[in-house]
Amino acid sequence: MTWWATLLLLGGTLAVLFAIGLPVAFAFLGVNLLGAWIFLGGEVGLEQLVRNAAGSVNSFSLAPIPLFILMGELLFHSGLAYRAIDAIERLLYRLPARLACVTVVGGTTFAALSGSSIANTALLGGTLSQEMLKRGYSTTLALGPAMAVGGIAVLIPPSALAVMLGSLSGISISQLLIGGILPGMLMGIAFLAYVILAARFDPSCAPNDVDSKQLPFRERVVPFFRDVVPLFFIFIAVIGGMLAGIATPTEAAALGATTALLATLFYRQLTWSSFVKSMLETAKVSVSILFIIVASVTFSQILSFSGATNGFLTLIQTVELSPIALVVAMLLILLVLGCFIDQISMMMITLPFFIPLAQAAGIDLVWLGLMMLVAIELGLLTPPFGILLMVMQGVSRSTPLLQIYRAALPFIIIELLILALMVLWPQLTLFLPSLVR
Amino acid sequence: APAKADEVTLRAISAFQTGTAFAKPFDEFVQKVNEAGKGLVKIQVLGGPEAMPPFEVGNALRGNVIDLANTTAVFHANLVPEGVALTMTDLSMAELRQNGGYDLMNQIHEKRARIHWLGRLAEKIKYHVYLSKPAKSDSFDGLKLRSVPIYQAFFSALGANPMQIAPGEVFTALERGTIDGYGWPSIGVFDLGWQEQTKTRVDPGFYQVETGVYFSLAAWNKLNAEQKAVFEKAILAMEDSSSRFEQDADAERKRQGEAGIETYNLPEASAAKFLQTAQEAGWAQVLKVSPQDGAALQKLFTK
Amino acid sequence: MIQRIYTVWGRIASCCGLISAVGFGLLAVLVTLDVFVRNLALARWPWLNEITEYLITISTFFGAPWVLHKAGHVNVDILLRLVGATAAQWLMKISYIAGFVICLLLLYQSIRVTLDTYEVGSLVFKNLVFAEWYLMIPVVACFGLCAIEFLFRAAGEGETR
Ligand code: NA
Ligand code: NA
Repeated sequence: MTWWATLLLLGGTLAVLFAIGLPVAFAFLGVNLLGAWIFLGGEVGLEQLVRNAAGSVNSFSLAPIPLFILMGELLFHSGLAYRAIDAIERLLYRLPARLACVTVVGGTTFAALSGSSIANTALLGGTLSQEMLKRGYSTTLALGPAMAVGGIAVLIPPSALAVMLGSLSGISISQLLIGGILPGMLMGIAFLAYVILAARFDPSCAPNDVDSKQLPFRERVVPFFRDVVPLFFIFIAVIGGMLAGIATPTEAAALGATTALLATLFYRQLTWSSFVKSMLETAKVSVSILFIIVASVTFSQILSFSGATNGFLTLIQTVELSPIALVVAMLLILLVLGCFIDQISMMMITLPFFIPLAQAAGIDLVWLGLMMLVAIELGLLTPPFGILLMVMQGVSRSTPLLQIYRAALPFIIIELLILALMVLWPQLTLFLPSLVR
Repeated sequence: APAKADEVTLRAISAFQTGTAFAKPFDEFVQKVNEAGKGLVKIQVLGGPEAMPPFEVGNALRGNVIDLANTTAVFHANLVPEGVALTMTDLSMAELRQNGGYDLMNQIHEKRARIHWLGRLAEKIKYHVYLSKPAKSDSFDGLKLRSVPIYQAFFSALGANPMQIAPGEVFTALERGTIDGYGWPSIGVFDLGWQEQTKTRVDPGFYQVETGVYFSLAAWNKLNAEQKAVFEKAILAMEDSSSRFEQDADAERKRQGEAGIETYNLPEASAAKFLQTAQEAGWAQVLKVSPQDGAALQKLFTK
Repeated sequence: MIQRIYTVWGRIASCCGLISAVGFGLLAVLVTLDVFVRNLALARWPWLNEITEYLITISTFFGAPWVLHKAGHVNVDILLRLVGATAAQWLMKISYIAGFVICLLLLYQSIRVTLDTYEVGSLVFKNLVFAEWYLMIPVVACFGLCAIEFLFRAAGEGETR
């Protein structure tokens, strides 16, 4: 079977199973059965499929997903988070779309820490986003930032994905980390600017709570110190634990969950029933994400095994391209692969092709690496299958998927613009690394 | 040119990422076979860890999902726990082929896992302890060292605190002092970018990295004598030229030195104890799960 | 009758959910404990990391049937919202049957793998050494229970959203 016939067969079957409403994870598993039968050799192939699936989430690096979700659920079901949200609302009442801004800043921080955009989207999407929907924010402002901030997090250190890219490609890790700062900050500013401007030009998409304006200064400031402080403790436990060398980034997630539990106890906000609710919700959301990972990681293995991914990648070698066209082609390939394949697999598959090609064409590897990071992150966000869209669907069950796509769209466009800027103006990424080279 | 009708194409997987230190010897092996075997056999490499999880390669061989693989017995220790003896041995492949050690290990593989062990690719590459700071003493007591199961027992026996950390987190863990160091082969540190956070390499090295070519027994038995000979000739040629791994290790030592990684030589007495502890801890693991075969192997695999 | 069976079935599913939630809770506790024990040099628990990995697997596979029971798995609802209510119901029914067949096939294969792993006697050879087929239990349970849930749904039971 040619590679494109394989892609067409597996992709087509997947699309049909998606369309009839079969849960995404089971649709992947169904296509995996088909793919394993054809490419892994019949019955033994099916056995191998089951073995691969059984081992697919047996990895400590996935721990941040349930741990960060647990942290969020504890804070919200205990009510602690609402007090903090109210405090921020009172303090920043002049800022349009305050909660969306909080999502951008807070989300970037947590995505950076957890190294997992998935955990981050699940945490924010199930909590802050829901609160914004309740307060009448538009779906774009409520859901968009929670899905998109992973793009900033992947650029600004600490970035687990940047370290991983460096480890897999041989590109200097510290150069990648430094190089990501400027474009990452630019993306953060662009997100904030979009959120604020959208609310300014169309106030209905981020309703302002009129009452806070009439509150005296004291009642605006005191709750901030009283109710936001516990969140800072959690923040310190997570960040401090990591910076002080007490915990690895993955373990820091557990410290966050434990500190959240302690904070709810300290503020006497936790009841038995809210505790049980937090645990069950954590399980529900985590399982729906991890089970998709079981199925989609196995799918990408079968796709690689069948030769379809390699066939697709060799497209790039068959034509002579100018360096800039080559870069664009590589980024386009990543955007397409993002529809089918997880981040780490994407790197493992493409780097052996890209690095030699880039070296031969004299392309700066740090520059390429950082643009790849943005493209890989974008792959998680682009329809039809962007795992972040699915995660958001999982935590925001009442929102139609099309509306979730629409919510992501402005942020996808911003990320594409930043990516274009990085392509056209290499100094944006290479200036800081050149200072320490 | 179209292949001759009786040319057999065999499907291969590498358990190591394309382009890294332990994928390269296999590339060479594949090239050798495909050149010498024109019209007889051809290896088609399907991919690396992205196509088959490394710890599943053993099962894939056993079930004949693939025909052969570049892997290490460490990855299929679930099927053949005795295989880790290949990492612990202080004998060369030439010696093992002569004293019956190769035959015994292959028999165990065939019996337990329907895997045929063709031979060894990586040899004479030692593991080392690397530290993120200059070494203060010859004691490892209380050091937090990133480790993998193959030398975890050894690190524990040294008094160190072994930690399992995903490769992607090691860099940050070193940078932040979450770990004091890690165990890794004498080559390959640069592949992962860890040199930026490494100050010291502790000598002597211990054990030796084992990678090799493993066949699905079913696929192997389907080959005729002429086809088998192509593979055997190629692997013997690889094993005969294994001294180049020592040259690689020397070159890497220089490169590490240039990158600011200093060598700390353990004093003679502690070095001897260090190596003895490594052997004892390693073999204890094997003997625990395989008292009979393990003991037989230990006789043939140690000096 | 079928409804009463479905109620019993719901309790079984809830048990799965409980296993899953306890697993994730233990994960948080054990990892935190590990950080403290290591940094205060109280003890050395190199095997703890392995346990946390198994917990993720156990929670995921035991949790999946329960999440399916609660209609909590993510699906693509674009077409379902475009077509009429009757057509959507038919599509859902087909999807349940497809899900049932998929899970049944996976159940059959995972039982085969379990038996095979048991017969070979393969071992998980890390800090903790134990029979490898134990790790297949959650997988067998997962696909078996998911198959049952899909069957109930195809028969018209269960909540949709
Ligand atoms: Na980051
Ligand atoms: Na996508």
